[in-house]
Amino acid sequence: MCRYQLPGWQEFYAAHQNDNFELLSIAVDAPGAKVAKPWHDKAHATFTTVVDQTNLLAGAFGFKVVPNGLMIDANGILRFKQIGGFSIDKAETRQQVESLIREKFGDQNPAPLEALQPPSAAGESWQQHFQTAVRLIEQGQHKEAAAALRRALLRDPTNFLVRKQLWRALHPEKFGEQIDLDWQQQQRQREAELGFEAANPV
Amino acid sequence: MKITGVLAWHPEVAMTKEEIERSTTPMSNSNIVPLEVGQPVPDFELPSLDGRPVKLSDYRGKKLLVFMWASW
Repeated sequence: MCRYQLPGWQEFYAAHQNDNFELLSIAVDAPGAKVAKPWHDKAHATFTTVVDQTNLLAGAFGFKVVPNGLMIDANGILRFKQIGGFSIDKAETRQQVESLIREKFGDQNPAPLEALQPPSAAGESWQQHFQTAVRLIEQGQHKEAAAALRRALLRDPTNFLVRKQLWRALHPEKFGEQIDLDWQQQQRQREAELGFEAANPV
Repeated sequence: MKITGVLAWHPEVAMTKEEIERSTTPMSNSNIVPLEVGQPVPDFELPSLDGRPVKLSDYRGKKLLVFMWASW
């Protein structure tokens, strides 16, 4: 599970801090900073963690899973991406990121970056329902949030980011201080048996 | 009451097969920006854990690893 990688990334970050390298961690948690912060703190992380509560990036870039890794050069150009299964615990991943840190990333001639456009208001995207769900979660209306998440999932049935939040809204007791991984495994199995499998649950 | 076929789903399951089939094309959001190696990553802003706004462009001039994860 991806949160368990934070100590590993902290160790990696500390080792490469003098290499003109930075690490930005993004938690995609609908309930917000309060559920992400304990994991950041437990890892004694000195890199910055931001929270993408409404799945802004997943909607904009079209990914449906985490953990993901992007390596961006000094000019803002994407040099490497892995969507799903990105892990510091894989020797191959570590080597790929390290070789990009060592590489000379071309001229330091940054062109201005275009700003990411907000999701289209036309039609009903899964994101709009997800945003509604986030608002309802903040108000403690878990049942209503589950209904909104269900509508989001109907728009994108294989989106694991939506599905996990739906599980959380339906079974908040499984997502307390301890995350019940055995239950999640069983839940996935139950859904798979019913012919309903996520894109790439990691 | 007799419940049959795909409607006999466990209440925990998100949706029926019928609903999936009836649903619109996945990823109906038409303005997806493909993340392509070799292309610039559009700038975005998100709040840090202590509520400070952080922009991707704050990291210009450095090699940056973006790690996306979740508490669940």
